Amino acid sequence: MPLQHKYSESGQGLVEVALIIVLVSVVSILGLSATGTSLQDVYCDVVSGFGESGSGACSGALFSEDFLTLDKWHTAWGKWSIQDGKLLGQNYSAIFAKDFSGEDYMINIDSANLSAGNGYGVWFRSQNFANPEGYIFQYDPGYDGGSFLFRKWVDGHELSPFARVKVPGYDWTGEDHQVQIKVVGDTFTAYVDGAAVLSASDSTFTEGTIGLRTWDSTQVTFDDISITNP
Amino acid sequence: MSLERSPSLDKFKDGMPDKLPDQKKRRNLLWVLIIALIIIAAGLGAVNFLQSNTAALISGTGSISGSVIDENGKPVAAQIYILGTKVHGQALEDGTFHLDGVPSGQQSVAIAYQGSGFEIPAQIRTGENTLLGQVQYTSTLEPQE
Repeated sequence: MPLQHKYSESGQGLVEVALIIVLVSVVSILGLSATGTSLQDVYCDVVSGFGESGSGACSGALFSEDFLTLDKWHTAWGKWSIQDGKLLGQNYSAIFAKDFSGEDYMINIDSANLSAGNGYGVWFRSQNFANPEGYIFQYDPGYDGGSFLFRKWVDGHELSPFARVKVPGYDWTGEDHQVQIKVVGDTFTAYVDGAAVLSASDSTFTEGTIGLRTWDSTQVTFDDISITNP
Repeated sequence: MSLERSPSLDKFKDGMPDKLPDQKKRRNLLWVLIIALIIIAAGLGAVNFLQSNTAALISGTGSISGSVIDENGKPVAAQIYILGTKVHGQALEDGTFHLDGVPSGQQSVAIAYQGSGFEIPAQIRTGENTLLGQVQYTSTLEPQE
């Protein structure tokens, strides 16, 4: 009889184990969400941790452009053209990638060459092409003797920089530079030729596309732009 | 009986024991773990909720007012934005502004005019009007000394 009594409890462990599995999943998802971590990023980190170059969502570019045409771009103002397979921007002009929008990503500009003028900007998490909103990284020899800086744009207005580093004596013009911007959560880091030059945090804008901007007498060419997972 | 709960054959080498191994202790341990996970999930759920716009909506709204002048003391009909929200408005010709429906808590107010602007932090309290006072507008396209 005692044996029969014990049998009446059989199989109940399965419910508890199932509950634990569900709760561990819920806790994991809520934890990632609370810290602003993307599940895809975690997966890609694990994949790269095993020495794999990645596959599927972890590999390849989310957006890429080698400037044979401007079909993927929307000119918001000014004039942009393709010259010798490169994008040429000059004076007051702005252009945005049309069919891309994302939250966390890495912008890679393999070649940016400022030949003249006060600088250029790279928009990220931007929306509303007519009156842009979002962030911009500025490669700006004209700002306070030469600076790298981050600004916010609100409804077509550019706000004062929320992060800036003055770089006196930097050789701003006449050379190809690789420019990258890593956008993850509320933290943005700009790299020039592989070196981190500026990092900042802000949480106003959470997603959007990328773009390029020039002003004053700027003349700049861009080539091979891609967006990848950070 | 599930496999993991099956007692070892060693326990039956001398025949049927008076009492089978007690599984209660193990089950209690499982339930302690389950309750701990529920508490952690509830805590993380609360953190997620507090980070959401819904929490800001529930916590209520207030208003903000002030005036904008230029470097010469003349009123500026600047655009006023509460960053990260849809709330915005324009100062009147006399430079004064008043915005309702501003989510309570720490907010960043952008004062913008003719393509440039700057931010001011403001603490908004539910049901109260926050006075920003007189704000001097200066173009921020070039660095401010």
